[in-house]
Amino acid sequence: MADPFPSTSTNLRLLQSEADDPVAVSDERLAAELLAGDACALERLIGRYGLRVRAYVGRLVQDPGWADDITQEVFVRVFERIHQFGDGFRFSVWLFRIARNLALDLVRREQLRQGSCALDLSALPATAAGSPAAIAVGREFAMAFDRALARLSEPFRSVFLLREREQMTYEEIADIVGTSAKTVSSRLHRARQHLQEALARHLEP
Amino acid sequence: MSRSPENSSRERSCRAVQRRGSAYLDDRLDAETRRCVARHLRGCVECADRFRAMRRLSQQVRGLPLGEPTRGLSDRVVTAFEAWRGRRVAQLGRRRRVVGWAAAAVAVAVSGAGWSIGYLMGIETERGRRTEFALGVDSLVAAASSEHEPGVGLPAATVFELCRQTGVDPGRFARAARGLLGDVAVIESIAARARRPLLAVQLSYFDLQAQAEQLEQVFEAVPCEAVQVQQLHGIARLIGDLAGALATADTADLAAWRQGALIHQVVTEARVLQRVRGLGLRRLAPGVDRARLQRALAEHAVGLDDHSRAELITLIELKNAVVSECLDEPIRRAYTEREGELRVFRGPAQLLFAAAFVDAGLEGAAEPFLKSASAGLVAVEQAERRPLQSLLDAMFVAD
Repeated sequence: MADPFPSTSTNLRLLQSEADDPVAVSDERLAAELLAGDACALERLIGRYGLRVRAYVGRLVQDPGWADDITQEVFVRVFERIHQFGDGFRFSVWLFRIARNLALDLVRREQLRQGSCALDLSALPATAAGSPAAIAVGREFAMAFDRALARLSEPFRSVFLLREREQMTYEEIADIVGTSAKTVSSRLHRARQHLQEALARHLEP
Repeated sequence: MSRSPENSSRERSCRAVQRRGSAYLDDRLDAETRRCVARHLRGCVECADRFRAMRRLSQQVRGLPLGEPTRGLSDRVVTAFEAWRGRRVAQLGRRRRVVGWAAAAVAVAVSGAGWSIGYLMGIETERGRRTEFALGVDSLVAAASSEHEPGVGLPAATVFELCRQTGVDPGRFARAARGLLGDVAVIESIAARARRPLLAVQLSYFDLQAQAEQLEQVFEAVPCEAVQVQQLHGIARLIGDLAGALATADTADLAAWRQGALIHQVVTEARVLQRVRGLGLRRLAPGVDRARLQRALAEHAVGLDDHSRAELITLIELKNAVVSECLDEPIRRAYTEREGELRVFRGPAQLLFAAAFVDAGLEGAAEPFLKSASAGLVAVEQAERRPLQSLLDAMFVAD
């Protein structure tokens, strides 16, 4: 029997990774080149992941200024510790684990106020094509999404973002946030429920 | 008002499906449960609407823009990286001097050969001074090359003694030191007697250092395009950095560093190939005497060297992936059909360096590269039963 809801999701990760870096060199190979001291490899990894890391940590710390600083620190940490990156992990998993740890360290250290002000995507130029009306709707959704996301506690926020924005598997997410795949599944379900209710108006057909 | 049994059952079913909606969306359910959920969604408008909303949420969140790049992020991080690397290399250099002399002291204690190790390390760890030794290069090479490739396969003790007696310039010295790696038994025996595993690490240093030296010679000797000069210079510098790191790495880190060095070697070699792909060999080295080079290759066909199998497998896997795109079809076919053969892809890169030397009139310097290149080609020739000449013809770009 045919699936009534066949998957239509695009491989965002692939598109984002390779849009500006069309030569198909794996992250892991770039990591090996970085280990060997190649600054070009570092630049390419930043090109692939800079925006994604900033978007992720920005939504964790909810402060665009801190997001830039943390993103920079993440990549400094990457080259300082690249010798610790080993087989068995995808580079992106290792990278986002660093990013999350640094973001949470900062939150704890600076005692940033949770739930105050999310990364203001509405202030950023829209990159999606479309009519002015569609762009306006997109910005409105982005603002509502960040407000709704800010009301989730960090573990739920991370799980949701890593799944939906980074398209990681439950096991990879579990590795990043330090829990089991089962817990990831449960948190993801609850996060989706919360966001679905909070954004109901934006999700109508 | 009490609910009917049908409604109650229906609600339970809806709750069960809604609990599984998230896992259904991510395709995390087993086949049977997935079929049950799908069946329910086809018959329940409310649950189907909820699921559509969940999927729409997913799609819209995935479609959110990433924002504009942070200005200067890459430059700042790369600058920090280069400063960090510089500090690290300097730090390693200081440690290397200390470790080098400490190892020398230990080596002095073990035997006559050990005495020479101390001497050897003393020279190399003071390499920054570029002390010039006027004598002995020819005698070392002559002694070494009667039956072996220069510096390769010589008993370590012989190399030590030759070096002690003759004194050589650092570049030639380092190249000769490659031979130490070919004599694993001697290295292990010395390391065991000295109870210093670090000694083995220290010796590995020369292997990489020799490559750096060779590349530096290419860099200095060959008037090729600026971009290639830059590339070669970068390779030499990076290999030198790695060598420094290798020299002082803890033994526990040795495997990782060694692996990194090999990967780096492969990748950079591949890059050189990639860079010259569009240019063709003739344009890389204008005026090179093709016939002479081919004759030299044929004459210098030698046996294959003796790296460890595991390292070479890593090397070849990477090379096959990166380099194959850079080769002309006949060469690629000949090589890739022999994936089990451990020396595939050795020829072309070595040949490029050899051509560069020959073109610069430095045939002596080209010799080891010619041998190395021809060894790879001969292996393919034998495997494919294809005349070496046809492989060479395929390798050179016709004008």
